[in-house]
Amino acid sequence: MPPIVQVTNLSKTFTRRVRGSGLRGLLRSYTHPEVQTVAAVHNLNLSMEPGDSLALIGPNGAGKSTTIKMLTGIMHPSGGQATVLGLVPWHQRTELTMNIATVFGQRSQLWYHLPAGETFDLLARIYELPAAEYRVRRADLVQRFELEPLLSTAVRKLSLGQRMRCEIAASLLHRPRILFLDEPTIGLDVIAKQQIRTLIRELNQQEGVSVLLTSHDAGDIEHLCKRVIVINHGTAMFDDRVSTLRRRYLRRKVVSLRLKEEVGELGVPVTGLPGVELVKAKGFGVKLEIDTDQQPIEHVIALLMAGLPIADITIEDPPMEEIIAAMYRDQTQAPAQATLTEAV
Amino acid sequence: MQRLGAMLRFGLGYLSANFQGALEYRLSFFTQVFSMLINDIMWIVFWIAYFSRFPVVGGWGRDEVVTLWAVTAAGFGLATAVCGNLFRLAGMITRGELDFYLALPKPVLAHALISRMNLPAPGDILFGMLAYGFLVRPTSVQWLLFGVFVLTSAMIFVGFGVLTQSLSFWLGNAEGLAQQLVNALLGFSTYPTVIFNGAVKFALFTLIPAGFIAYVPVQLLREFRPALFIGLLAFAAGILALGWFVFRIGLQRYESGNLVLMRD
Repeated sequence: MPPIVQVTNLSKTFTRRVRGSGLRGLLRSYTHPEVQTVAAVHNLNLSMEPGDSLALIGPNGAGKSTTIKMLTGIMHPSGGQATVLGLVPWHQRTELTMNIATVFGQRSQLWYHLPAGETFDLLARIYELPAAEYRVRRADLVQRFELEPLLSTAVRKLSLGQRMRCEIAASLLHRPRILFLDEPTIGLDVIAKQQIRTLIRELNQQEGVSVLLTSHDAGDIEHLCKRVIVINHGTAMFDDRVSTLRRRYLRRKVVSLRLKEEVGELGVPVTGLPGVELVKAKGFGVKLEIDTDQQPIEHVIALLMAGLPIADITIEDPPMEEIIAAMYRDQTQAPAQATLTEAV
Repeated sequence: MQRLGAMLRFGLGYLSANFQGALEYRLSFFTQVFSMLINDIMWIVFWIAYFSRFPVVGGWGRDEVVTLWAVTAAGFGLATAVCGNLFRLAGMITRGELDFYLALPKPVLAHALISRMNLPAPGDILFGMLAYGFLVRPTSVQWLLFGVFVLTSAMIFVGFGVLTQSLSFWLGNAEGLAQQLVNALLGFSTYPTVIFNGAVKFALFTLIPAGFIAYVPVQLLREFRPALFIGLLAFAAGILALGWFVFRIGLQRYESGNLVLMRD
């Protein structure tokens, strides 16, 4: 079966006028105009098979959203080629949008002042859905996303998590074959994030909807995707299975504790264990980094819970910037190691 | 035929959503309708008072000026009632709000324009019809022509609006400039073009085509000339097509954006 998304050397550059600070800088930018070209996406290659769940991750400004916008026909590229479902997005946008859906975490497609149900009705007209088919599909999505109590409330009165459930349900009314999600869990609390992730995973597994999502939350990819592409400065630095990423780069977890008493006299019971690094222990706060290859996280947590009066605990992945830095280290070390092997 | 039906259902869907949205804030909606009517009536009162003292200006009397106002108000009302986003387009381009429309399977420009309807604006259409009907007392043929001229004037407003607002694709933020140009178009449309000469008159039929909004229709209502009538229809269709074409070219330069946005 041919890939549903095929991207070859896709690039997008923006030009920006350079200006110094203050009024003088502004005036100088008029008398001595200087233009800078910024590559948001640079020679990106990727492909996606039907039913795939692929994550594009990277820090802010990496080019994730720009890539999604080019693949959905919102933006024209500066160079390269791309086909989505065999169509060139920026030339065959109308045909393409009948078969895909795009959800932006930071941009609502629901009418702010109206109940979400009204937007659903409007979208049914935009996609020209037959009335009977629309009624069945809507009822199914309402039940699956537990939207019944929300449908008659104005969108402005919904919580962010509730709104995002409505957003995703709205995008699925026309049964898209690919769902593009740009930061779908941004700003959500842990429970809402979990709900959204479960719903997307079910869609992928039960309806066979292919999912391409961008995120800078490593949790999203661990829970949702089989494959991951890490991009930085518009270039893919890693394209492999999520399990490989986890094994190589997500084995370290950051554990933050808030204690009921000051840490000073208590001490931290796991200090000195192999794979456990104490990052900070001050006042009521303790922060540890754990290498889960060397030390099972449940063992460390059990010791901490037994030995400390814990008020709150958070377990996080290392920040995306650290993962990218580790990838850079690997890439620069790999050729050096190869040269060494050849010399031996 | 099927496509037309689908487009009609699509337009009616937006009409219904806009109407419900407007009635979410009833007091604001009715205040807007009322103040619009007062504004229009004030202008007519001014012109009636003016013509009671100076009955003829450049060969034009009260009926011509009332017709000028009626065509302009009704045409502007029609343009902004249906295309409520017309004069917000420049800002939408700059803020990256076209993403909503580009992600959906409908023509981007038409969708962006009609997704907001200015529901108090039909007040302008009603005002234009009442002023024309009661003060000019037209024949049925003149009513028919009046209807056509309201449509051509609305087409020119939309075409010119899209053309100027699309400058944002090239200039970055052309909101202010586009607003100035539309104000000039609207302002000059409500003055008898007969009082202008030379370069100004030339500009009013080219750069700021205010002459085609209501001056040409008034001339045609006074004395129907087929060539001028066809010229007016061609100009209205031409500027609309030019606006669409420039927007389409500009869309290739669209840079989107990352602002947090809601549809209001």
